[in-house]
Amino acid sequence: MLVARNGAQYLPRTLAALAAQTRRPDAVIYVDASSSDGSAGLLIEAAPTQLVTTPGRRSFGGAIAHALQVAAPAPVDNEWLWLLGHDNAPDSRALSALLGAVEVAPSVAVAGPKLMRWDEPDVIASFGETVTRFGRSVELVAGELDQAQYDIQSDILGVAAGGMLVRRQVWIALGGFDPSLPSVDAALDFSVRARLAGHRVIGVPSARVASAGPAELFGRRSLSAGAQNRIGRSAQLHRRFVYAPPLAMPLHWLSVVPLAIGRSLLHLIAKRPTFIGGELAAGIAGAFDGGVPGARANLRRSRRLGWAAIGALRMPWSDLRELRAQERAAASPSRADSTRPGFFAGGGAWVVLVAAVGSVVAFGKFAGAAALAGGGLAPLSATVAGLWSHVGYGWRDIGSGFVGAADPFSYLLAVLGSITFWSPSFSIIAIYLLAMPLSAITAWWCAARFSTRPWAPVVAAIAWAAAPPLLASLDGGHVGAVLAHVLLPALVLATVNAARSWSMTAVAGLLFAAVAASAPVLVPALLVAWLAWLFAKPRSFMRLIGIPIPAAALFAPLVFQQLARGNWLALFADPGVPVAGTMTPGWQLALASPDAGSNGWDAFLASIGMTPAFAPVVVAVLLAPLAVIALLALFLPGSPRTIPALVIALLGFATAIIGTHVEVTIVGSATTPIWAGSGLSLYWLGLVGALTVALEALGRRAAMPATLAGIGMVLVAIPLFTAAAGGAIPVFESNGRLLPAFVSAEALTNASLGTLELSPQPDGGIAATLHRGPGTTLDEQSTLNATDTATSKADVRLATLAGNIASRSGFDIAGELDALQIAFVLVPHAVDDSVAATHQRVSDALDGNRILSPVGDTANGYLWHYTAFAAGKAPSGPGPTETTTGLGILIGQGVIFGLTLLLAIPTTRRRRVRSARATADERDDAGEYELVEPEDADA
Amino acid sequence: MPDQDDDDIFPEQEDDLPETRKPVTARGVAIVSARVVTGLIGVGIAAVTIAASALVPLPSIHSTPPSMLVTPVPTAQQLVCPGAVLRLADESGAGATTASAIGQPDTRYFSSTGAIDASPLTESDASTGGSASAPTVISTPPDQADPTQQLLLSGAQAQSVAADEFVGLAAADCGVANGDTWLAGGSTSVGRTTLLTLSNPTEVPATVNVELFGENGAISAPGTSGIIVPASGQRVLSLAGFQPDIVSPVVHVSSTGGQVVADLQESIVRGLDPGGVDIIGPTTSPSLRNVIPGLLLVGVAAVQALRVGGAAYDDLSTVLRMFAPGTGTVTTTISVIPEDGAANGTSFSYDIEAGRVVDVPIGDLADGSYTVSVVSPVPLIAAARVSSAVAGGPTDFAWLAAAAELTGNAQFTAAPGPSPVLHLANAGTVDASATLAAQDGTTTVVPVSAGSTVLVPLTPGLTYAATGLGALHAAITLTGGGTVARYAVHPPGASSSPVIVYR
Repeated sequence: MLVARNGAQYLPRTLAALAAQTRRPDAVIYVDASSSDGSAGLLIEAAPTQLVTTPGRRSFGGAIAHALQVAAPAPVDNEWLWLLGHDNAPDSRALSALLGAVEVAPSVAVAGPKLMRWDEPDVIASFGETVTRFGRSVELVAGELDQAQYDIQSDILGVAAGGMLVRRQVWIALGGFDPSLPSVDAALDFSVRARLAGHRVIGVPSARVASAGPAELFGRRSLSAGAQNRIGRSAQLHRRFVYAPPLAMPLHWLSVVPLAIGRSLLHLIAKRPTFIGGELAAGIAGAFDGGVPGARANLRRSRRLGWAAIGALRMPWSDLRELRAQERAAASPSRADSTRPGFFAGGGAWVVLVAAVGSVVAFGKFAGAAALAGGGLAPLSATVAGLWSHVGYGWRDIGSGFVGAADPFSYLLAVLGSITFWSPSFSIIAIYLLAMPLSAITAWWCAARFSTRPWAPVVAAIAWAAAPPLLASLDGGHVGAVLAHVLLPALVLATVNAARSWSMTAVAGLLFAAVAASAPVLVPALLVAWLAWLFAKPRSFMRLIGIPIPAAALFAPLVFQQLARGNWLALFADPGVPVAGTMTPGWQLALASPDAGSNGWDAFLASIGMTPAFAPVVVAVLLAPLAVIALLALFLPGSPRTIPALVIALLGFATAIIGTHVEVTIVGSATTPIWAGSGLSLYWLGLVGALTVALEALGRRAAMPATLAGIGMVLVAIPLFTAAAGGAIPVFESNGRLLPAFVSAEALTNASLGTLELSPQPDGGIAATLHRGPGTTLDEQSTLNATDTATSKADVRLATLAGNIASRSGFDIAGELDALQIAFVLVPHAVDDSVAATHQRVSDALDGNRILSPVGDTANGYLWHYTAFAAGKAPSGPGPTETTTGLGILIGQGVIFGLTLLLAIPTTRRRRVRSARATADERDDAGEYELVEPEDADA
Repeated sequence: MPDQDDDDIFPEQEDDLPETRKPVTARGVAIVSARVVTGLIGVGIAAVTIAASALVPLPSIHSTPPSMLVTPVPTAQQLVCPGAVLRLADESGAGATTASAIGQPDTRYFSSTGAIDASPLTESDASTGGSASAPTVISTPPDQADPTQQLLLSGAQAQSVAADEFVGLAAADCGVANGDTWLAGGSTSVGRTTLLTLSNPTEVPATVNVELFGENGAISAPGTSGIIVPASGQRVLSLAGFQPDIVSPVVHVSSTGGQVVADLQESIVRGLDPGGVDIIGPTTSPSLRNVIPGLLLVGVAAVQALRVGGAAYDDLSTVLRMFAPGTGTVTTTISVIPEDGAANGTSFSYDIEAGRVVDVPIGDLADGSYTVSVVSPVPLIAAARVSSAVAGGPTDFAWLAAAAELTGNAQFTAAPGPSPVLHLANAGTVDASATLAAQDGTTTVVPVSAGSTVLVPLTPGLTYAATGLGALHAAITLTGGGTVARYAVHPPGASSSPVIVYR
């Protein structure tokens, strides 16, 4: 009995082999299972006893059942069926060997041949199947060279469908193959039922039959790994339900979906994300498997023996472990790579050490502080719980308060603050202390990925640790830009490696989310680079396409809200405390100076008594080696790397230029441009990338240019560095309090205690800000608030109070202070003469207000206390978990990040595989001839 | 892309081994050319980008900061009139460190709503608490019918003194309490008594710090800081108590807690001759342009005749007192313009040293009235002193504070003294005008052309509402019988003006 489905390429050999049998079959039934190729014609030509064409596509078992029904000759005693697929070309002596085996053992009802590979007749494709204790089917032998090592074995639990010889009465009594098992495990299940019905199943090693692939491939051209897993898992679940004792059924049924989810997570950890869809589909399909009752009835009817009858044939754990170990051993790489410069031998460690020393000199004084403040910085929430209460979608206690989405940066701060859980604010100090050495490390590893000699990574590490954008961001308290700077080389490294590794895809996704959250202005440029990489590596499409998903999950609520406001540019606003700033001229940005002060050289030259006008010239001269070498890289070999690097530089430069022209962040009466430092970090990344390629291409001649460029970049950083070391920067050590100590003490007992801050503005207006409890922390800052150009009812209410409290007024100030739960009024110190008059007016009005008693001058400004304050309920809104929207957003983000993290966790075995593939990738990149693209590392 | 090819053909390793380089082939030449072209394109793009970034102006996108104009709910307007002229020591000469009042002033006031409360301060160092000699607090509640309308309140007092060695005319307007006041005038040299009065009309005590500057710079003296002025109380302090023999004091008063109205009172006795009394009102805060209208000179000849009396009579001269906070030399431009418009004014430069008070003599002016303006590159304060006399009659003097700029609406009261005249000065370059509506219903429109000053005679004791004011400066002079008094018109209290609130 030969079943063919779309098997025209196999049939000629199979038919010929069948015709060449030493023991010819008595009758031959050819079944055409609705082939669409030339199979039918080939079958007709072979002139079988009967030719059956099934209506519609049938499985192997279904086709046989149909053929037996419509075309079988009348049954006679001791009749045997030999089931062959179109690819099962038997050896000429196969049938006689099989028949010989069954004739000597009358208890045998099913006999299977030894299936050999179609194109490698010496390799065993399959010879017998069994199940583990948990019912998972296992091939006893697969992919081993046939050295007659299995030729003694005979009694087995199951045989493959192809080439199976089965007694016809048994076949009919057992009802044939289970229709719910179309391919995988159909024959195994049949064999198990045959054994339970009291028959024996044997493997006949002397009968050799070819097989082009496992059962699930029958009639298919190819099958993805995920689909293969889904079919296998479906079959296993079906068998579990069929074999299970009735009492265990509810337990199995309840566990099937949770198990599917659990197994999906394991797939993720094992870097097999493509399996997850099939796993879940199989689980759900298994839970609603309509074929189970019929199959159970069939089994009950035919069963003669207990399950113990097959116990001995199951695979014990020890054997299974041994089998797995052999598989791993076969998959392990055998080749180690040694062309990369070593971190210690290559000098990377020295650069990191020097950067660490420099960092301690510049920022070491911060080490003992409780927190940092000034510039874009403020202390973080005092507790980890506080940090996490400021993420998600909910009430934002900033300004007059509103319900909205948290900045993605708040999540990042929550993570960082949780690392230093004993004092969340210390995480910011740690960033200041570690930014330079960490930059050196990330840059070194990234550059080493593209280098074979130590020069380029060392210079890249120096360039990255002493980068003007990094130091300017540190000096100005732009902690988001600092984080983006530190992480950018790691993101490049992970994205490049993501083309080969699922683990790196997840890491790149997390890094992309972190960089995007830290510096949203970089997102357009990074997306352009990502798209380009996607098109450059179409074969890794599936791996690369997922990189922005975590960032998208973080940003989605914010994007939705900003688009609803029609203020999409506000998405790129810097997170953190808004810092007043002015537009930096384009030529200053070209000198990598985010501020107008030529990387601090203006002030530096002035301080040593020279003309500040020379500052741009000095910077240009010092950076000239970098610029020249980076452009020179275009003339050297390696342009597939130079061009992307310089395009990244261009993107970064464009980001910085455009960012300085977009003033969406509002600081009181003024607007402030987007901090150019993050764009310039990208610009610097591109330049240093091109420098790296050039130094690598120059080979042994790299020493001189590398030294020149390195010295130039270190010298350029001196003013920014000395400014930080000398304390001439806006960032300062804070005692961790955001408001005067008096308020902080009161806020300990009343967390919703309000403090109204009235900041006089240069135009004579005042900016009114409401702080709750201990003050508005860095993690509470919201770009939704900082970029809002509309005034809400609450804003108008607060403004009315502020305007009246800052004037002699007949307004019911006491009543409104009670209603808004404001107990303190704070007027910051006047920064310059432009606000002096307004400052005076506000102070006069507050001083003259009978209900306010002056507390006096504090570190934060002049403070007044509303003594008749009656504690009550402050205007507030739901927390991040108190609305369905908020909870849904948190769960959605949690799931995406949880899965990404699981995917990112390196598993030792996988990492070894990955490193081996990475080297193959590098060889490919380096331009050597590579005939065969390395196989997917993880699938 | 050709670059892909060249990397394939020339792996990086080959560059390190030039001696084993392959012979030059046509393809190799093509690849090197492609690199050169790529490089040139790259250099070109870099040059164009950097040039464009420096030269091409890009449009900026600005958000508009959300702002709300908050008009404070009007409250009772409150002014303090300085009260009676004070003397140290009583009539019997006892208690030389304690101030006491000489008579009581004639005070007039009016509010745009009509309703007005007047009550004396309840406490005073001069023991006048609660009496008619005490500083008077006038207040008017907001118009209940239309609480948002601007409420104008003004008052002024005049007192003609002729008691013992105190002879002269003193007039002042009623001022708004605030936290920061500059006073220029007075002297603590022999025969000159200058008292600093601090009146606190508010309901909270005020803590006052006094900064004193003299011709030798800042004066540090005990007792200048932490002066407590009780709610509804007056403190009277002698400047000589801080430091005697200051020829040219300038006083900076700042208060926290409650707010005060600060004034100086000066009396001069030359030997046994009374030299006049005056109440010196606040001058404008340091500004780049100080305008002093109403520099009224009467009896110049008689004054000149008195000046032969010796050094004690030196302070009969007309002087301009200037003080620039800070350090360095400040070049000021002083112009003196006759208010009758008959003659062109004079203008001259004068260098002063910041941090020290300078009295600049302004000599050779004939009888008449003048407007003095001082323009400087750094903010400074300025005031002037005039003297008057009639032969055989009393001698008097007046300190002329710089007048703040008036725009929109203002209200002033003509003190009930002799011959009140309003001096409306336009120090700008644009013609302006003012509409004056007197309390009795008469309305006058006064055009004031740029750079000129217009004199408007007033009815004593009447209040005038000025509307439609351009950028004008105003002062009121009183003169009669050899005595002179003058006060500047102040804009309505700023504390109730609308304020822009940003989020």
